[in-house]
Amino acid sequence: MQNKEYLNFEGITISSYEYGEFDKIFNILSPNNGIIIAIIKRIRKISNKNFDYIDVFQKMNFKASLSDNFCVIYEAKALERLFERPIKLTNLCSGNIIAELTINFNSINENNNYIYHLVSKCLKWISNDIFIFALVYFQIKLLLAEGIFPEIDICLNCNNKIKPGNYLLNLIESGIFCNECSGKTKFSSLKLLEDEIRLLKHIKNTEYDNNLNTNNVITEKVDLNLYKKLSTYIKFYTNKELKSEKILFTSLNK
Amino acid sequence: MNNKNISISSVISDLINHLNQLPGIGPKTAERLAFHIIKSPESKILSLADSLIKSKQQLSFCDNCFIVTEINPCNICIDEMRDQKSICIVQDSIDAYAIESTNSYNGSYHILNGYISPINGIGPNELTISSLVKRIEKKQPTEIILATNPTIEGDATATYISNQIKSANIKISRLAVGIPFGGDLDYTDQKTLTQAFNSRQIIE
Repeated sequence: MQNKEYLNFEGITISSYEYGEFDKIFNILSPNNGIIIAIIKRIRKISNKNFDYIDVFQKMNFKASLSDNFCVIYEAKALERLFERPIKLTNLCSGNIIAELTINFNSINENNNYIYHLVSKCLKWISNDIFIFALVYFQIKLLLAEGIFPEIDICLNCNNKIKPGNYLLNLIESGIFCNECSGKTKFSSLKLLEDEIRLLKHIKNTEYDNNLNTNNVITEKVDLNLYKKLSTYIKFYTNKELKSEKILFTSLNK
Repeated sequence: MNNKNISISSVISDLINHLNQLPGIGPKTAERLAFHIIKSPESKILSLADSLIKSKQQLSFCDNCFIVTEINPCNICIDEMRDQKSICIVQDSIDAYAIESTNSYNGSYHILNGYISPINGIGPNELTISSLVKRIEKKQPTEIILATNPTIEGDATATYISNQIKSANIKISRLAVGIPFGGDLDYTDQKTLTQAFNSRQIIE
């Protein structure tokens, strides 16, 4: 008889769906193994001594058995709740956007630990209603970690340093052209305003800690337009729509 | 070479595929159910098929509360013995049936037909929330009970609805969360136990 292999790991539950009559399947982001897809049996029916309350956006310690196709969770102990109740719609949408982006970009590499702490940090900010900044920060740091952050310091064509101003971000070549060279690009582009480029540079070069507060000057400057532009850029690479995004935009327009 | 798909009858694989589309039914369970159906007496299966057809032909959603019903408006909405000034909001008709089976509530219902789940593309516009708001404006209820599941998404749905109707002068409550009857304190998770403490009741 084959012995079961057990795995103890820390993880953040980023999304879940119901499975069978009583079970749930969770996407759990782990610091070392990327996203682990795991089933928790009977979780919708009863309390169990081996399980603390489990929902999405929680940091927990898990004990699981691994097989070729499946990971079954046997124990889950709460470490930290990243979302506080009551849950606002904008915050739920933003948390779901982080989850969707994490799933879309999931790859097991040396950046996993960084992404894990990034997700944890951004979810906490969202819980404190700093959701637009958290989304933009997450987008920028994710692009950097995945090596597809656009070139915004020098012109893609002539390599001259980009001076302050509005520029077109070329989606295919992943960067901006200076005003003299902008006529040479015929690919689809996004207009980036001077302030937006400045914010991009600032966030690219700054690591904020967990205790970001709403009075931070930068959080006030980052607006939905920058998020939308970065989202278009990301969609160009992933070719995937984010379902949560549409609902976030609708709720913000009301 | 795998011949499994070639040798299986297309009628059986059709049946399995259809059963597999039902919620909570995986491929294995679908296979088991399909072969159970094939082995069952014809009368039993015809009766099942008849029920399925009738459920589509004779059942609809109540125009007022959106519960699954044979008559429209439903029996609950037209029952004068019930407190129509109290509305209990639930995710699905099955939740209303669960509450009805307790005989502890004598008001009306409003079925959302789901819960807010942005990751699945379900926002407030996909639910019956706008109809609820209109119903509240028209009927002026005195009490709203939010009976959504105590999950993150259920909580977000309840919060969204309470924000939509807050301006009206209505008593809004949520179902209590705590230790189940027959439950063991030692087996209760921290979150539920904390909530149970916070919602503790004075013994009269």
